[in-house]
Amino acid sequence: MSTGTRTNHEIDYKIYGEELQFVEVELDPGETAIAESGAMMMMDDGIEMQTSLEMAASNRAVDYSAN
Amino acid sequence: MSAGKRILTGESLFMTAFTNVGQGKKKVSFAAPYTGKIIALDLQEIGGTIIAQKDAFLCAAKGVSVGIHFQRKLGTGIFGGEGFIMEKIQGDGMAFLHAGGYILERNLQPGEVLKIDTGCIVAYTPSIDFDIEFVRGIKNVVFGGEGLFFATLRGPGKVWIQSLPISRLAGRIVAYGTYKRKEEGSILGGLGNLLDGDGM
Repeated sequence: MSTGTRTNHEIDYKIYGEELQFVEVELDPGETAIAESGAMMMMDDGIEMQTSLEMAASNRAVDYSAN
Repeated sequence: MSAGKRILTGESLFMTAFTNVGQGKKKVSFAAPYTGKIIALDLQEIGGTIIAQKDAFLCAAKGVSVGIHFQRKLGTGIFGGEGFIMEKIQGDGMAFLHAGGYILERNLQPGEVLKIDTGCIVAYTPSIDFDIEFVRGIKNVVFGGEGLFFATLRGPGKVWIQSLPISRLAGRIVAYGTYKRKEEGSILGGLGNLLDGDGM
């Protein structure tokens, strides 16, 4: 699959658990993941958390309405 | 989605960004809130957009937008079980949903119809036609325990179905015992419970 055309951050991940799961997201320097407040379970030192009202809106850096 | 729209969906107002500001790869984990499965979706692979039940979103890559989706059909909005408002998740990166019990992914062929309990729908691609159908037969309605309506999903498209909506699980738990509220992450914590007169 071609990944060269993506505009969103390309995050790697691994899902742990069977009936009660969590997903571990691996971020390269400068990469960002977004989540609902309260979903975070743990994170490495060096990851910065920023919660904001505007976050959801600012995620629309690219207009996908053409899809 | 703007703050106002997030209020409408009844979801938490805030989204949190987790950015790696260090050197090298770093990890951050997001946990499912109850028994079920996490669905990893490559939005690019499934056409860029899915419509999801409003509390299904767990996390995503930056750039994925979590927007609002109104049911255009009145009947679907009123009787669909999920209300008028669902979430529209768009982008070309990874997005993670969570839902209860076992999760089944089904491909519907053009014109293929799936009748489903309204609460069991987790997500579907926009090519799916979502409608509501009355349950026929008075005995089915009164004794069938399925309520008055089915959702009907008409292909083509993909649909994700959960075997155990949290509302069904919660209903069963409440039926069995004393309901004690305990909220996680509240600043007041136990103090809040003390103050509201419900006891600890």
